[in-house]
Amino acid sequence: MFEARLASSATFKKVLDAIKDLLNEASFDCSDAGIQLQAMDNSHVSLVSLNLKSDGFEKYRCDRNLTMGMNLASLSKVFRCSGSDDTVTIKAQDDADTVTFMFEAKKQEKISDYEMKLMNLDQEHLGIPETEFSCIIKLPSGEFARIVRDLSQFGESIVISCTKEGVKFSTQGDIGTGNVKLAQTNNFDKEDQSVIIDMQEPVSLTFSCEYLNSFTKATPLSNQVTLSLCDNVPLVVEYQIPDLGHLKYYLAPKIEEDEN
Amino acid sequence: MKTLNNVRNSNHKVTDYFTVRKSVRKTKKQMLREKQKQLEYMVICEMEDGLESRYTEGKGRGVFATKDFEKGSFVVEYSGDFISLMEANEREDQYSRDEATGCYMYYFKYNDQTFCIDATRESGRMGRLINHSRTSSNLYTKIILVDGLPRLILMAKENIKRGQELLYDYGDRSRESLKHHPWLKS
Repeated sequence: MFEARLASSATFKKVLDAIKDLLNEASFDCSDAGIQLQAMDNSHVSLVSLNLKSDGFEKYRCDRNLTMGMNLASLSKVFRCSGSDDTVTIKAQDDADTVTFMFEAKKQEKISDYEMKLMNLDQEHLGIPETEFSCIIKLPSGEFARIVRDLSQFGESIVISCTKEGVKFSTQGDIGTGNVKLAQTNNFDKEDQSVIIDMQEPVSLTFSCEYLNSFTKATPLSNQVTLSLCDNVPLVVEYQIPDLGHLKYYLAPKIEEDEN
Repeated sequence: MKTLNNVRNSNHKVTDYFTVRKSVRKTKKQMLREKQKQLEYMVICEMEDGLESRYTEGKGRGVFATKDFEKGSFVVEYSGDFISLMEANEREDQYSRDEATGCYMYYFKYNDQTFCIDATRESGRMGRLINHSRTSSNLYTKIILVDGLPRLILMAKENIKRGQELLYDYGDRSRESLKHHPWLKS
C-alpha cells in the first residue's frame, strides 16, 4: 500500500507544469525515502531528476517499493481539477494498475477523487557521477527565466560564460547579437535576490535556448535557481522545492562548430 | 519541440556523459509477461529435454525424468490435435470400436467452451505417453495461448528428482471411461 498526503496540491501541480513539456510520460519511483523520478526527453538531450522527500509530506506510507508509470498529460488533467488550496492524497495498492488522487478543499466541504490508469514504461536510469563543477551560480529564478526568454528571441543557443567578475549570457542570430551580464551582488541582505558565484575555473559553454526555456517552467517552484557548469559535463539547472525536495535538469551542451 | 531535428544534429546527448543503468528490478507484471513468453517459447520449439520413455510392467509405456525439475517449471506439452467437442465425440466413437486404442483424449474448458486435445495418433512426442495417477501425480496441466490457440502444457507440481516417473491426473472419471479404463480410479 502506498499513500502520500501533500498539504498543497498546488506544489505538485507546479512540479508537473515544470516537467510536462519535456516528458510525455514518466515513472514515479516510490520508496520509504520518498518519490523520485528520472527521465530523459525524447531526443535524449536533457534529463529531468525529481526528488520529493517523504518528510515533506503530511503523511507518507510506502510498504513496498513501487513504480508508477504515468502519462503526464493525463496527470495534468487530473491536477487541473484541484483547487489552489486543496490538499492531495496519492494512493495506490501494491500491485495495482491504477493510482488514485484525492483532493480535499480546506474546510473539507468538498472532496473529489480521480483514479488514473498506470502504464508499464521501459525504464532507463542514468548513473550520474559526482562532479566537481568549475562554476556554481545562484541567481533569482525569475531573472534567469527573463534572460533566457529575452535572448531566445535572437538566436537558437545561449553561451553561458562565467568568470570571477560575473556571469555573461550571450546569443547571436540573423538579426544581431544580445548579451546580458550579471555581476555578483555585494548586498547579501536579500538572499532571494542576490547573484552568488562560486568559481574554481572560468568556463564558457553553449546550450540550446529551447531547452533552457522549458526548464524555466519550474520558476514558480522556487525564488532561486542554481546553475552548475563544467567543461565536458551537462549543465545542471536546479530548483529547490521548499521543504519537499528538488527538481534538477541536466542539459548536454551544443556541439561546437569546430567539433564537426 | 519545433527545432527537434535541428537540436538532434547540433546537440550532444546526456547519454554521451551519463551511462545507462538498466534497472535490474522488475515489476511483477513484467515478470509474469516474461514467464509467459518463456512458456510460449518452450511450446513453439517443442522442448522435451530431460525426458525418457520407458516400458513399465503393467502400464505399458511411461515417461521418466532424466533431470531434476523444479516446482512450477515447464515439463512438456501435451501435444495433439486441437479439436472441438463435437469432433471429439465423433472420434471417441470411432476409437471405442477398437479396444487396442488407448486413452489419449484430454478435455478441457477454455472460455466456457469444452475443447479436446486428441493425441491418439502416434506422434513421437512425449506428452502423450505420460501415465495417469490420481493419487500421486507430480504434474499439473495448464493452458496457455500461443498465437491465439490454446495449448495444453504439463508443469511440475513439486520438485521432481531425476529417475522419477512423471504422472498427472487425466481428470476423466465418466462412467463410460471407467468401464474401459478401470485404472483411472487409482
